[in-house]
Amino acid sequence: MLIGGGVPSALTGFSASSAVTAERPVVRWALIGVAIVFLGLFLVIPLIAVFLQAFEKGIAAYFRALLDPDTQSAVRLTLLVAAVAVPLNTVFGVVAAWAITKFEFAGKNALITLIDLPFSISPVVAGLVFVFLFGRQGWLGPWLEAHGVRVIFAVPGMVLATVFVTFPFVARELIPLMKAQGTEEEEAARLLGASGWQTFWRVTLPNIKWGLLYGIVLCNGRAMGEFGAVSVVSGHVRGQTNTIPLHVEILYNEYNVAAAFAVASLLATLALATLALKSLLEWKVARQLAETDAKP
Amino acid sequence: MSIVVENISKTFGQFVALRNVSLSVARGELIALLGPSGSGKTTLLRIMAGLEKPDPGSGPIRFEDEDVASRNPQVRHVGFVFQHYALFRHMTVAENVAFGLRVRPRRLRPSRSEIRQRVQKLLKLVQLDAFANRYPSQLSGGQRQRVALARALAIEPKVLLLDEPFGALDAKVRMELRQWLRRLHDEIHVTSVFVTHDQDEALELADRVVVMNQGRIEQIGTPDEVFHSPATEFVTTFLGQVNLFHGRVENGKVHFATLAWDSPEHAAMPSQPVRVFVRPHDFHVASHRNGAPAFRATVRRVHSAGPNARLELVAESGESLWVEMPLDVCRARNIVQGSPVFLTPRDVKVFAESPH
Amino acid sequence: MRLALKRHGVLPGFGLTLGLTLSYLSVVVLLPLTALLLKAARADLGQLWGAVSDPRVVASYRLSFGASLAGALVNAVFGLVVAWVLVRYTFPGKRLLDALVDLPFAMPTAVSGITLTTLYAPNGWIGKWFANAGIPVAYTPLGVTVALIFTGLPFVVRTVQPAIADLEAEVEEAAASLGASRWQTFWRVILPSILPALLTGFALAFARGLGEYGSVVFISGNMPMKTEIAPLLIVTKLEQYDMVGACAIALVMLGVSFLFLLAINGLQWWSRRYAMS
Repeated sequence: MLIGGGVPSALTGFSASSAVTAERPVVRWALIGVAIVFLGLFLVIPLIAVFLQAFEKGIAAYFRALLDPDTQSAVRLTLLVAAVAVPLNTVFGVVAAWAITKFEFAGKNALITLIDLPFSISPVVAGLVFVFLFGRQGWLGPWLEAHGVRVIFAVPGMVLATVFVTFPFVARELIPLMKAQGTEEEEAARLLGASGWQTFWRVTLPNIKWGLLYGIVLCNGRAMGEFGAVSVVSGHVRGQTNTIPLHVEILYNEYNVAAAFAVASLLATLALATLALKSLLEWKVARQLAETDAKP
Repeated sequence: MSIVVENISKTFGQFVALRNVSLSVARGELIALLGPSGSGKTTLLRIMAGLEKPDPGSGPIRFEDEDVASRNPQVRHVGFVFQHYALFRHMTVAENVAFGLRVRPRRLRPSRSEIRQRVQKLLKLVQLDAFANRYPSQLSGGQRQRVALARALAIEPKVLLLDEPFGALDAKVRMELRQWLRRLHDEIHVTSVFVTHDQDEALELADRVVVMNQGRIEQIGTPDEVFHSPATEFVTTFLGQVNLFHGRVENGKVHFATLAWDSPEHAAMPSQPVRVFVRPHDFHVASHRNGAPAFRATVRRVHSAGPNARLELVAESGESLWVEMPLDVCRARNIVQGSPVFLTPRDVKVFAESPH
Repeated sequence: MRLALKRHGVLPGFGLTLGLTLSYLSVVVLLPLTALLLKAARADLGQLWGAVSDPRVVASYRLSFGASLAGALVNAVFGLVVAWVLVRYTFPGKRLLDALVDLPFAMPTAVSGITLTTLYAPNGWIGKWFANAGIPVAYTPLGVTVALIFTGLPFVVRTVQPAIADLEAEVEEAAASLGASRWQTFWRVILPSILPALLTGFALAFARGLGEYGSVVFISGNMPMKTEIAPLLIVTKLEQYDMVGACAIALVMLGVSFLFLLAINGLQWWSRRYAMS
């Protein structure tokens, strides 16, 4: 799977100048037209609609919705969930990418497939497995209950479900990048007397920093926006186990549409920021890879 | 520092890269490991550096008197120059060179100003002092090569190991760097081993050449020795061009191409089929029989661009062969396409026909 | 027994990093999945079968499968056009559109869900045109398909784009010099070489559609037997404390996910078959 691995148009530079490999202008503009209409209908109009709907009842209503205590607590919980899930999966991503790209071992491809696994599982199933693990009738549930620990329908469960669905993001950005960069620079550092840590901090990390940041941005976007998995384990306790996406759902189902879109506009802004950063970082990563390829 | 490796073997899965290789390098020597790809030369170099571990049961790897076989690479004090240089692309030239000094433990680390001076001195040595603040991506291949060398020298290595140091450069830069490296070695005199598949490079640059093939050492000797007295058939064919004849040894004579060549050195060899090699420049070419033992051949083509004429010939016995002779001699004797000539070998190498 | 055949003896941390990777993977991913399997193993087989073969559940499979297939097909056609246009042509606003292709991936699903519902509702900006033509979109299977076109789009475009970018101009020139028309070149030379990528993108979009929840539940209307998707039924069963029912449907979905994972890996292996190093 390679979602997110877009090709920066600046770098693909296919020269369509040759007459035999270019379509007739009519065909070309027709295709461009089809693409623009399709993307307009499915991407641009919905994006605009979010913000227009958010301000439908005026700016005052917009900020009232944002400043509502329930919204505020949803924002706080979302930040908390991301603050746990993102660092955990970042460290894991770097560690896993190091093991996978710097060494040869049996079963490596199976390991990569397992790391990708959470991507192919429905978010609802992802939430459900934690109910079966920690829920009242679950595997570890009775033991947890006896010790007064609540995981399901509480914050710990939401964090766990988010960690699960954002698990592969950092690792899968780093693995292809570090594979392409090889191990020669690290070997050189070791021969020059650098310790393992020094090699990692001074040689590996600077080389992967853009790819790493890119993975973190994607991971964070998903962590803050996850709906299905978190919904299953949350129990929807208003003001306590509501993240922003869950709060949007509640407002929408209460026919408080303008407020729902006002809160949704926060997430849409996050998505736009993620896209902007992603485009920028993708360009940097592509440049870094191009330098790797440009061996003299 | 001298290097001695004994009975080193290395396998990668099914592939045998080195079979029982032993080699000793004297202090201050410049040694070339020469061989085709897959001959094990790079593996041997990486084992000396500690980048690969030899198979269990291999002998010691001694630097001077110390066995370093179990030592980590970062304490072996080897300067290693990678084939593609492995420069740190996020560091400037100066930072690359300083790296090995900066990562030392605090008590062994030179002061900042000292590091700066050392870097400057090294960059001057490799003639890159004007490029200290450039990034590797802004340098040409030859310049990157020299940065890699300066970086390796910065840790004051006792041994310098270079993997195909000129492999990634174009022909003209190769020649220049080759001479420059020889001069540099004469100046700093650090024990050096380099890997190459280019015979000219090995013969021109090295004090001694180690010819390798299929994980084994075929011959170790000075460039003169390996070129003029090849120990094996592989060395003969790998170094320079040769003409091959199938013949026989009988009673101290080598029979090939209608010729019975007196060869006292093969007197002891039992009668058997042999392969006979003669280099193109090791023939005397006459237009008439003059009493010397010679075989007859017909000139097919004459290539006269260059200081030597290269003749494409067919021997009377059917073999095609190449002969080189000075152009003026060729013209004086009026040797042209279709001329019959008489060839007398000056030097022949004879090896028993291998059983397969 | 040693697990590994280590090659790069110089770089440290093999045992540490692989150990951490395997432990974290086990705790975060494998252990919870085992809990699901354990739940299923303890349940009565007849009860499980009853849950997955219930007519309401079967109807939800049919909807999820049909709408995902339709959405993936639409994306295969239009995604190919979009990818082609973004790689080969230049026009104003191209880079912005290129960046926007990832919007469905970056946009939280709940936001996509309520936005598409509002737009395609009978009184919505787009929905009212369809309503006038007598075609309701929101709260019908068509609405589910619309949501799945939205979520699947980046999978097709981002998989096909690099394949088009990797096409060599020389090959197309060769086809032209051998007398092929531009259309013939596309049909016989270009399409076969990007087909594995297109199929991979199609399969990714399809698989994503089967499991999609947030962007679909708002627009689907959730009428039993008509517009209920399979993931929603899991939530419904859970809310009714029917753990075995939820477990059974989840097992079916997990099985289908595995099949798709295998198919996609196979496709990627297939797409490398002509690769020249």
